[in-house]
Amino acid sequence: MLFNSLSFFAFFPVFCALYFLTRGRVRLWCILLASYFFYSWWDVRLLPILLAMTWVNYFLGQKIRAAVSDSGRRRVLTAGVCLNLGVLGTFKYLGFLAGAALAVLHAAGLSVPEYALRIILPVGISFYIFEMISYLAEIYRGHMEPSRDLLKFSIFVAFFPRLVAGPILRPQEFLPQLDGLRNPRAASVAEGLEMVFWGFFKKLAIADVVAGFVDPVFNNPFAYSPNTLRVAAIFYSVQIYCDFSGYSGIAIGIGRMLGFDLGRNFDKPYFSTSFSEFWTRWHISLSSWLRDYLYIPLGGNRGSKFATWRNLMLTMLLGGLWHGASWTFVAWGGLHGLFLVAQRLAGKPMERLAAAARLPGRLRSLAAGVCVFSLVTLAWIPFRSSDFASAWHIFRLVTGGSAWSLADVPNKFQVLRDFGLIAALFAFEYLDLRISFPRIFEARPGLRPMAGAAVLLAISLFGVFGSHAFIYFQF
Amino acid sequence: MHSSTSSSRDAGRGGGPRLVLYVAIGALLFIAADRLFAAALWSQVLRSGFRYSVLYREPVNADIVVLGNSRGMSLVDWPYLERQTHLKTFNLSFNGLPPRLARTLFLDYLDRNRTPSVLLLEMTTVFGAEALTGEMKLYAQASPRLATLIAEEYPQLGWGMKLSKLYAFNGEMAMRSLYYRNRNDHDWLVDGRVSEELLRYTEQRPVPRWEAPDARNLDEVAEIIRVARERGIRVVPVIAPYLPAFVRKSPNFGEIVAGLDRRFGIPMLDYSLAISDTALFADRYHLNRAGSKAFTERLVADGVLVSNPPPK
Repeated sequence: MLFNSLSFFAFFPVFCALYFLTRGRVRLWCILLASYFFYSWWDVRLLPILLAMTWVNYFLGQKIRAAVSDSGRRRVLTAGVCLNLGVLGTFKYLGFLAGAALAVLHAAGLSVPEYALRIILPVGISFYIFEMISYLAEIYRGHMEPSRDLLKFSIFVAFFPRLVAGPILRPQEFLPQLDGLRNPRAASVAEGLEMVFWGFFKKLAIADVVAGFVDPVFNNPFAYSPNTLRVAAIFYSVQIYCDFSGYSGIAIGIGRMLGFDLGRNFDKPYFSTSFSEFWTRWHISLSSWLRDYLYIPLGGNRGSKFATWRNLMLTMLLGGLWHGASWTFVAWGGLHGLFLVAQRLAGKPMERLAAAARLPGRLRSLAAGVCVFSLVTLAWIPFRSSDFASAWHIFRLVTGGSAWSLADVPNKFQVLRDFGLIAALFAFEYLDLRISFPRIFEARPGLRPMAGAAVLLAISLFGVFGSHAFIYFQF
Repeated sequence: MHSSTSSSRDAGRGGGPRLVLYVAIGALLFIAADRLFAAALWSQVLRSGFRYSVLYREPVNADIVVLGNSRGMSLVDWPYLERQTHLKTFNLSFNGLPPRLARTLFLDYLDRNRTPSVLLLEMTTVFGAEALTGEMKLYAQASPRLATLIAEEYPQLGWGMKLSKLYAFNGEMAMRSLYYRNRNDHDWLVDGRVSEELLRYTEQRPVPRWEAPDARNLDEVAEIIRVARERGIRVVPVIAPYLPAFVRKSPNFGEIVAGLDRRFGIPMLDYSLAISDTALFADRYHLNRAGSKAFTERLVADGVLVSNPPPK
């Protein structure tokens, strides 16, 4: 069930009525059953996998706590992590790995019969598997006690607003919120509503709007001019941001309306002036997960320079692979790893150069921001492309020396409208950075209805209402 | 984690009535602003020189009506054609115009204008998809026929337009009509020239087979031809030029054209290979501005469009 579908608009009011009419464990059951219903809407065959993984991890958590020795706890943790990654690998990567192995065998001249594995990918599996790994790891580290309530643990795994595309929850932050669950305050509901409205604006009035230009170009990049490819690359950069942060905003907003805090997943990432800053603002729940459970256990930046670079590269490559079984995702992760390493290598000399040139701070920030946005946009090219040939073709033409112009770009009206919408979004985000709209609304709550009405008007005027799936559902 | 939430989940329930009041005020503000902006925008749309604003505002009484998809738009240089033939022309074509919408627009044109003498019909419109019909919601309030078509094709659009009047202005048509607020769109042709990259790509890669046009699309075009003939309009079924390599390498283009001949019982004027100079194309499917002018000259020279004597 998509947030931007009629079925969700029928489901959510019914759920809210049940939620606010119930108390205690009845309410918890209401959340869980609604979450399973929401999940089954895609394909009811996916539900047993979710149920099985929930139960297995619930008991593994108890086992870690019950183990008497550290080595015993470590064994259970290792078994749990292997099991979770094994399930994820089977559903997500087996076909990809088999294909890669076949290609190697063919290249070596060995005759192997052609076949393709077709395994259905359970929606949201990458997200809930990572949550369960963090659950086991936190119990092992002694940061939390295992849940003694299967109902609450099941809600942690299946809570519907963030089940299929995050944010990735931390168990020690979410599970306590289920204790003594009470009605949210009106202010919390209002904040949640605002986040939902803004999330829908980003999804319907920007992401899906620019998708109308991006999709045909990336589906057949050989048929378009360099300038069209440049526009499509910039638009995709904005599309994936608005699509994913829009989804996250709706998920977090719905959580807030129900009285939950699901954290923050995006924080105006395209205003970053360095790649390390970008990764503290983009998909925060995943980047912090990778930092805590991969980068730091690998050694982080505690070892030699070379070890730090290796850890950065490994983390980003695996982060890329997390998105899907394709070398194009690995390439995307690898590019970001290179950016992070390059930043460590060139950061200080660049700063000294800028200081020597006496560039004003704002100009320096602007130049750094443009540089980060440009390189992030280039890295999205393999991420969006269907194969390396297409990605390389786009990359070559986009970075080529041909003159920049809109003259040969098709659908100029749409392009100009889309640039206008993007400019408005960034202007709004910049203002928010400077003056903080939530603080203004807190001081002058009378502005809230006006802001809500304005966002709805903008959605009416610019939104695309075709129930387009969110990009991150495929991951 | 968000700092306000620990407090937001406490038992305090104050502010509920105020929240309801804010939601109600927000809804009222939305409805009022929506109606107000929609009314203001509609008055501007009706003043526009954009082709469909003109169609639904005032009689045009053209001698030649051009109908087709984007290839119909770049088929002729509209002002140049008028200068050459001294015949008033009106181009009803639009990018991706599907046949059913083409028939609706043509019938609306006939209802509002003197019967034209020639209908220049770009026949590849039979390959159209319905995508554009929803865009025409802007003019639904001016045409019951169009409103019926949209309601049949996109029932959900009707609900959207009831909920928000501004929604009718969501799309390219509204932008076009506002862009042409103070002038007409007769010079709207494709600029630019097909890139070397695309020329190479077309030469090097195979061209896929054409799929047979949808039966419903064929029926709609047949209906346009039937209505035109019934009113005594001379129908000129044209296939506009393609980038020559694109047609030459097509494995079944000839079969498709022959199929259209048979289906409509009239020979197509197949100009698909009429322009050989690639500099006259914007891409594989469309003539550019210079190409449209050159092709207009060709149509006039071939006597396809009967010209009037110059006015005294």
